[in-house]
Amino acid sequence: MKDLMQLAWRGLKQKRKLTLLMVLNLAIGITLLLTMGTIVTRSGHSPIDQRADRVYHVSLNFMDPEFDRRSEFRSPPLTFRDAGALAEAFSANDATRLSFNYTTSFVLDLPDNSVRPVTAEASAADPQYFDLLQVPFIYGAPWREDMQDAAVIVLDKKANDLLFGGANSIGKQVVINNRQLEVVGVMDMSAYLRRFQNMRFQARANDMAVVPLGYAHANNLPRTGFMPCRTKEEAARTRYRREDVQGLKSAECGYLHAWAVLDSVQHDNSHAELTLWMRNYTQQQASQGRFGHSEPYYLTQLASLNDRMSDNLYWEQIYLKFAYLLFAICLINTIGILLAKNQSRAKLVSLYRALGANKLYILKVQLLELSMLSGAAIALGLLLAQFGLVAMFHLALYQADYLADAEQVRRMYSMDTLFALQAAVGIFVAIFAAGLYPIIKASRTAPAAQLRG
Amino acid sequence: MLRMKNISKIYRTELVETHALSDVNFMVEEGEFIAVTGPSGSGKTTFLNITGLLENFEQGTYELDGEDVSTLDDKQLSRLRNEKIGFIFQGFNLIGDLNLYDNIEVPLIFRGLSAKARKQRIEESLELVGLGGRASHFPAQLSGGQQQRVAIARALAGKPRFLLADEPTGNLDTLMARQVMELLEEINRQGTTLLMVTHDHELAQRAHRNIQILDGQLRDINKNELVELIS
Ligand SMILES: Nc1ncnc2c1ncn2[C@@H]1O[C@H](COP(=O)(O)OP(=O)(O)OP(=O)(O)O)[C@@H](O)[C@H]1O
Ligand SMILES: [Mg+2]
Repeated sequence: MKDLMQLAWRGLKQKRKLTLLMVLNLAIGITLLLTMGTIVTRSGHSPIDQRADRVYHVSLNFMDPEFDRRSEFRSPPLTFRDAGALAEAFSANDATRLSFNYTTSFVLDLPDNSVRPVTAEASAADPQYFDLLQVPFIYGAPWREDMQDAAVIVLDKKANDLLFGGANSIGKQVVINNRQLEVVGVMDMSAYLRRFQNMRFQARANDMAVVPLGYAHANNLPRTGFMPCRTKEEAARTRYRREDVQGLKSAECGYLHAWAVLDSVQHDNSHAELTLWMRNYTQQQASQGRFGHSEPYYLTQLASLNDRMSDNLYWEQIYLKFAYLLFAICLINTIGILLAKNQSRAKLVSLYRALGANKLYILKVQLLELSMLSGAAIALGLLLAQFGLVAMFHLALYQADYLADAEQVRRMYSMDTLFALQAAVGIFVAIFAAGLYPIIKASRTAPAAQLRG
Repeated sequence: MLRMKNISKIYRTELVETHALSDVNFMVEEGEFIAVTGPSGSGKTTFLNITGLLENFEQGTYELDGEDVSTLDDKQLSRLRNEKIGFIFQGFNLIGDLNLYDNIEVPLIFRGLSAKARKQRIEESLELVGLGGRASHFPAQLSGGQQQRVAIARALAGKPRFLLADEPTGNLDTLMARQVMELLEEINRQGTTLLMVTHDHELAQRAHRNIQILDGQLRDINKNELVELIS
């Protein structure tokens, strides 16, 4: 083996420039592939991935029969009335935990105006919301079940950093619309790259604060998310959004996103239960002239939304395809260089053969040589990809607004070890497959072919 | 040790068929020194290549140490080439990227000798050809005659029983040629069978036996005929 290594190393040294060219050529292809691959895989990633197959978005389609949903991401949120009915039906069911939220936004300030106010993308939600997200708390905890109407707030780390310099702010007051709320918890959302809770899957702008649903309703916090209304409500829509919660509560407008976390053991059972309830409920409501749409309800798994989301990463996917294409070109190039190298090396191989190396031995030496070469290329590629990602991270950070959390951005641009490993193995196999033909060809060189005179 | 019967070799290209060897019958005894002469293109190298198991042939039988070589597979042939035969090529065919030590080491690696055994043999054979202190030099740093001696050292390092030399003095001046020739004779005296192709009839005279190849036909000639060829 040591001898084989020695000969392979000598083979690499022959025509060093070609060897170098080959390594660089492969390394560039690998770099692009790994960089783009990392970004695409990272983008579809979330801390609750491991239970994404038992988290469901619950939607009752109260809309007019002509309503065109277009995609899963446009499943109508629940109306206040339907949300109430759903909550009521499953309130005693431990295997199906429901959570409701709507998207809002407000300006956060301190009572003494000592810091610059912060515009916060936020959610109005129930305390189960934190259970749904499994979001880690740095300080404090979610508010209790019985505090749904209380003036309390959970801040994200980002908001806490801006308002309180990162200090423990539990018990401190913040101001929204001239009303004070008490901070009960500080959570860390930085790992949640996409805001799936409102079905937007928007990257990099997740909740900066969460307030109780009851408080939000009572204080008319605006409803900023996707809010489809039946045609007859269109005129009042803007009013519902901004001020008229009372009107909205009885209107045919959907603004509450409902999520169900099903028990892992009783998953199938709970899923059937939920479906049955939705069917019965929509049928029963039909007598009141509602749910005339041909698809009266949707139950959509978070995992399938995640998958669909990755497919929808339009530019990233295009870049990734480009990277694959480039890698393919690099591979073809490699074959070309290998052939050229073997051409100039036919003499050496035929000398080896004349001096007593058999075909198998020649094959082994060359395969080892190729392994060393691809190993070097992959290592270099990984290194360059790492550099590339760091560079892209800095670029992204530069482009992001001053609110962007460096950690959150960094996570998007750092390579997953498992992914890198898989990619490395895949690339190795690809290089090997591509290099096999020239190598077999070279090992067939007849002993005397190139040695005459 | 070697017996050829009715060996023929034809090179086929798209346009022509070259009968490089036709109907060659040939025998060599252990320890002989045979010189092969013949005009350029007559088939000398082809003959030597076939003898050295570097090329196959169309017809006839070839027995080496009583073994019919046409029944051997690539692995066995490679092994024979490596162990029994030393080949000195018409060009030197040294590897330019490797120093003398590494050049000579190549066939020994193929044989699977330990690094220690290899070292000993390499030093011995370099000593034998008078290049003892130059193991770390590269071929390009040597004169033609020295390169030829490295090629001889490489062929000898494996301690072959049968040495095939294709114009070992072809690229050398008279003095150099003499020296190389004396070296080969010495090796032959120590028991190695030697088959040498040469254009130089004076050198050919020093062999035990002479054969001539003309248009792919092989025949024995005696010294008198050689003398006639010289004049
Ligand atoms: N690979 C080949 N393909 C086709 N023809 C070949 C090939 N090798 C040799 N020949 C032909 O076979 C004939 C014998 O060639 P060979 O090399 O044996 O001659 P030679 O006697 O060694 O000549 P020289 O003294 O010039 O070295 C020549 O006519 C040559 O052109
Ligand atoms: Mg010749």
